[in-house]
Amino acid sequence: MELLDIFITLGFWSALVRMATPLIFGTLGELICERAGVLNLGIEGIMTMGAMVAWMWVYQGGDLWTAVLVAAAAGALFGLLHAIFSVYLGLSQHVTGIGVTLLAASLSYFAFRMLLPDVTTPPKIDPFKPLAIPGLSQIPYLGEVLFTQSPLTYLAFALVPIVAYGLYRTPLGLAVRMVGENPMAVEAQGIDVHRLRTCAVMLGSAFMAVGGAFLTISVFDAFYIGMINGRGWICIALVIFASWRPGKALAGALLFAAFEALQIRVQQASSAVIPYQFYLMMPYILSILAMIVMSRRAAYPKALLVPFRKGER
Amino acid sequence: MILKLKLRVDEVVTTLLLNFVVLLFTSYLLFGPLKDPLAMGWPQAAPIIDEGVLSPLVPRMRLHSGLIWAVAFAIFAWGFIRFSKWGFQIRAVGHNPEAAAFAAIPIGATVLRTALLSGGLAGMAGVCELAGLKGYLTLDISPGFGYTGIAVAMLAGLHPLGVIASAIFIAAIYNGADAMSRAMSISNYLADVLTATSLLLVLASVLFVRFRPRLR
Repeated sequence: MELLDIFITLGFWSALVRMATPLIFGTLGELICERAGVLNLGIEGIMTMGAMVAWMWVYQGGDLWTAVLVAAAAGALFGLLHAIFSVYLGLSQHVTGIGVTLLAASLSYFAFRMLLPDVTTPPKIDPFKPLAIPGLSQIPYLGEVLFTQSPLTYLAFALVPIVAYGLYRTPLGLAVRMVGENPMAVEAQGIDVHRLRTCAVMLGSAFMAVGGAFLTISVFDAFYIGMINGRGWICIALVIFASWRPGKALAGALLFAAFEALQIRVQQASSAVIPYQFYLMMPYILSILAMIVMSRRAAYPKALLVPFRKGER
Repeated sequence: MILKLKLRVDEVVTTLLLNFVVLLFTSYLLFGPLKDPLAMGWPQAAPIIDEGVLSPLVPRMRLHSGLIWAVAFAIFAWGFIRFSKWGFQIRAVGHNPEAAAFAAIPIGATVLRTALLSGGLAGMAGVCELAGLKGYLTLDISPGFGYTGIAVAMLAGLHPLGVIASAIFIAAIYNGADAMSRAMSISNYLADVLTATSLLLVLASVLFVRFRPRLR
């Protein structure tokens, strides 16, 4: 049976972990935003921006790790833009988010085209090399799948417990969760709701941008137009699927990555039975289905989408 | 598909995801059943029959009668929203759903009806491009016009007649950017940057107009 063969190969499992990485970054970032009560539809554009900026930084001779930081900074900047509109001005989070996505994506394409005017093939950089962790990578099977990955993948996996700890075990995390549930209570505690939400959105956007950067400076070595390809929207669906919990977000990201990795391999194995477009459709359909299934008993943050205005009851 | 509203799924995210599904389905149709055998391997459908082509307004120009249709639809939409019963229901649900429910306006039906109408109009836009300009279906028939449409609507202050003006404005930006990219090799993504910027600025300006904050 062909399908079983796929599950046995190591390539499948290590591809799964690799493909989950940008989803983990994006989902965690969106999760932080939404926990603070702000839906960030800018995610698609912010990931594009992160991918472009990080790639460009390395292409111009920058260091890989500084590229990650630069991408995070660019993401935070667009997060700030989104926060100014949706938090301080209290405008529709949907329209603002789509505006931010349009701006960030078109700006990164524009900058890419302007900085590299006359190239036909996308130029390449030296991406992150897989980093084998000494000792652990010697474990048969498991070592190759889990411990011979890009450093950014380790970072993504490490971020899951860190975000969970931050959200559930620290005063700051409590404040962030509270601002998503009941901003008036936060105001009563003497905490600045607007500032807290803005910081949460900026941090989340930085995560998203690093997720985008992972694509250009770790998996691939080039940037091309339309490379994010709806990953941002899938992350939003994943947040709902995970019912706003970091641990479940990791599980969801891995599940989706498994599907993506499987989809590519099945497509190669069984050529021409089903047109390949239907395989490519699957992640999107699956995320819509996941949203339908999960949203029935979802405990979404009460103040999500609700702008907070001082003095309003 | 907006029926998802009943299941409390965010309709915006659903449509954003559905974009990809529909695009891929079109791609399947173009590579598969609808592929033009004469297109030499390019994924495009056979040209539509001559009767289906919208007649050009000015001879030897690309301007076609789709423009008249579009303007007519804008005026019709204005009249519809302003004067008809359904139009009133749409406005009521948009402004204050609770009050609308109190006045026994069926919210779910209204939202669904509106979604169907707007989907139909967006489909008309596709038909216009196809029948007026290209004459055959390709995958890149809409270079993000759907998102541009959001900017156009916001620029018009969500007023159907304003849409005519704002659409011409945005179209000028796009054509100007195309000309610039031909003449001075400036990427025409600049047009998208300008559109997005104007969308965000209009959003902000609506607030300033409504609340008139005083800056000391």
